[in-house]
Amino acid sequence: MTETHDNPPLEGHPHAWNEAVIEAEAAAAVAPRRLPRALAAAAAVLLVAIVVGIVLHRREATVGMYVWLSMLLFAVGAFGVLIRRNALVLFMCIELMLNAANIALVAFARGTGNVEAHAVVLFVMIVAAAEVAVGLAIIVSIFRRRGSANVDDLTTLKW
Amino acid sequence: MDWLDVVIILVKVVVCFLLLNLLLAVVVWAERKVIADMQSRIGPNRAGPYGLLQSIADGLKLFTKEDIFPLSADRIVYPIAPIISAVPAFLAFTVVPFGNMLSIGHRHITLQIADINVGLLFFLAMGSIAVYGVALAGWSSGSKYPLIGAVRSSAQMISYEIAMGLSVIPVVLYAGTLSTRGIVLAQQHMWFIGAQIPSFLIYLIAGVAECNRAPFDLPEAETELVAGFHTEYSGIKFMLFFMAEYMHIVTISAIAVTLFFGGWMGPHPNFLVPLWGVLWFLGKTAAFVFLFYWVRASFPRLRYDQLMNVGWKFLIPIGMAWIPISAAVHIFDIRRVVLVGAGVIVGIIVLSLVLPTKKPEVLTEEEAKTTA
Amino acid sequence: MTLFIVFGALALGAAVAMVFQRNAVHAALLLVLNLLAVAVLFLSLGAEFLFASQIIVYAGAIVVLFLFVIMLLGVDRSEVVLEHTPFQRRQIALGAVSALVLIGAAAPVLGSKTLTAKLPAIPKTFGSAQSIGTVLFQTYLLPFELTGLLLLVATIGILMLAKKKPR
Repeated sequence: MTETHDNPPLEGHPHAWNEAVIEAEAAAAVAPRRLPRALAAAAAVLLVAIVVGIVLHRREATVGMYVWLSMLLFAVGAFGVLIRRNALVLFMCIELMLNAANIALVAFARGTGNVEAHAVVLFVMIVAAAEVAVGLAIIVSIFRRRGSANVDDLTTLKW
Repeated sequence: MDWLDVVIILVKVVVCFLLLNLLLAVVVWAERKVIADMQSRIGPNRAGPYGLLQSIADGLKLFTKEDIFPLSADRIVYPIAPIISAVPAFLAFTVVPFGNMLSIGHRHITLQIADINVGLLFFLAMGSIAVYGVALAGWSSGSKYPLIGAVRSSAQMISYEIAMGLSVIPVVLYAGTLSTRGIVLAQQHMWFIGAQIPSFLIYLIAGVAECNRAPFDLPEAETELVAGFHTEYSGIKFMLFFMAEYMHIVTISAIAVTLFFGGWMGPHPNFLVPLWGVLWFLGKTAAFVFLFYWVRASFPRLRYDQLMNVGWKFLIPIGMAWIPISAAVHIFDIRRVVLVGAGVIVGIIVLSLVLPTKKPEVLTEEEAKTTA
Repeated sequence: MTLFIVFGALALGAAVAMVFQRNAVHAALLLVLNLLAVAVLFLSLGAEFLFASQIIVYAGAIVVLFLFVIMLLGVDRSEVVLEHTPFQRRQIALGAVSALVLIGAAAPVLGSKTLTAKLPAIPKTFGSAQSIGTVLFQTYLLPFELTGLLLLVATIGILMLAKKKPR
C-alpha cells in the first residue's frame, strides 16, 4: 500500500479518499482493533449487572428499579447521540431513548394499576414509527445529493 | 404453579419439538412426491419404501457436508442468520392449539404449548422477526445475488405482513379474543370460513407470500438470483433455512385451520376424545400443506412489480374494506346470510384480480423509452 | 425479579454495545436485542399487548427499515456500514455530565414511597387488548385519530421525498 498518497487525513473529507484504501485499511486495521471495545463495554455492563443482581436478588422488583433501568438506558441513548457521527446510528440512539421512556411509563402503569399509560406507550410507538420513516427518507435523500451519511459533512449552513 | 406444572410444560415443549422435526421430514418428502406426481415424474424412490427415508438421508448428508465460510462474509452475522431464521419459525408454533384438553386425574392439560392472551399477535410478531433471518443472511454473505434476494424478500414480507394482519382482524372481531384457543372455542357453532371467505383468501395469499413460496418465491428465484439469500450457505446452516421454510408452511397452515376451520373440532366417536381432536387438527393442517404444494405446481412465478401490486393495490384495500363490512354485520346483527353472500362475491373479485388472467402488457415504443 | 435482572442487564448491555459499535448493521442488531429484552420487561410488568406490539412495531418494522436503508446505502459507500472516523471525543465529557444531571434531577423522586413500595396486585385484565382498547377508544379517542392522521401525513411526506425529481 502506498504510504505517500497526498490525500488529506480522514476527518471531514471522505470524498478525497481512495475507496479501496479506506476499505482495505478499515478491514485490516480498524475492525479487529475496534470490535472488542463494544464487547468490552457490554461485558462490563453484564458484570455490573451480575453484581447488582447478587445484591438485589432477595428483594422483590419495585417500580423504582424499572425507573432506574429506564434512566440508564436513556442516558446511554443520549450519550450515543452525542458521540456518534453516522446519521443512521444517531437515529437508532434516539429510538433507544424513546424506548427507555416507554419502560418508565409501563412501570408506572404497573405501580398504579392504571392502563392509561399503556395507551400513551402505544402513541409513542406510533410516533416513533412515523418519525423513523420520515427521518430515514430524509437521510436517503441527503445521501443521494451529497453522497454521505455522516452528520459532520452537512455543513452547508455554516460559513 | 408447582413443580409438576413445570414438568408438564417441559414435556410439552420437548415432545412438540421432536414431533415437529419428524413432521418436517414427512412434509419435505410429501412435497417431493406430490410435485413429482403432478409433473409426471416418480420422485424420491431410493431411500426406504417409496423413498420415505429420503429426508433423513438428506439431513444426514447436510450434517456431514463441508460448511463453507465465504471470505467476504460478515464474521458474526453470517453464522447467526440461519439461527435467527429458524428460531422464530419454531416459536410461532407455540401458540397453535393442536387439541382441546387432556385430563389425567384432576389435572387438565391444554394441548397447546402456551395459551397466552395475545396469541395471535405473538404469531404475527414471530412472522415479523423472521424477516431478519432472510435480510441478514443476504447482507452478511457479502455477494450480490444474496443481497438482491434479501432486499426483495424483506420488502415482500413486510408488505404481505400488513395484508395478513388485516385479514385476521374480522376473525378477532367475531371471536372477541386474541387467544388462539379462544378463537377455536368461538367456532363451536359455525366455522369462521363460512362468513369470512375474503379474509381467508387474503390470509392464504399473504401466507404463501410470507413463506416465500412459489408463485411468490422471488427472493430465491433460481432463474434470476441463483438461490437468493441462501446462495452462499451450505451444510447445516443451509439446513436451518430449509427447516425454517417448511416450519413456516406448517405454522401458516395450522393458524389457517385455527382461524377459519375450527381448529381441533370435528365429529368424533365418544372414546379417546382428545386424540380425535389432535387427528382432526393434523388432517386439516395436512390438507392446507397439500394446498401449498398444489399452488407451487400450478402457478408461474410473478414479476416483482406484479407481486407488489397484488399486495398493495388489491389485498390491502380489500382487506381494509372487508373489516368495516364484517364489523357492521356483527354489530347490527344482520343475518349472517348477507355476509356469506357478500363474502362469496368479494371472494370472486379477489380471485379474479389475483389470478393471472391478463395478457402480458406490451409497451409502446414511447413508453419503453420513458421507463428506460 | 429474576426476569428483571436478566433482561434488564441484557437490554443495558445491548444498548451500551450498540453505542460503541462501529458496524452499523451490528449496531442495528444490538438494537433489536435491546428492544426484545425490553419487550420481555413489558411482559414482566403485565403489559401483554404492549409486549406483542413492541415486537411487531419496533423489531418488526422500524429496525427492518433501518437495516433496509443501511444495506441500500452501504452498497455504494462502505463507510455507511463501517464507520472509520473516530467518535466525537470532546462530547464524551458533556455526555457524562448530562447523564449525571439527569440522574441528579431524578434523585429526589426516586426515594418516594410509590417507587419503593411493593408492586400491587392487579386485575387479570390488566394490560390485555381489551383494557387498552377501552382506554384508547374512550378516553383518548381524539389523540388516537390524530396519530392516524400523523401516519397519513408521514406516508405522504415519504412519497414526496422519494419521488424522482423530473429533469
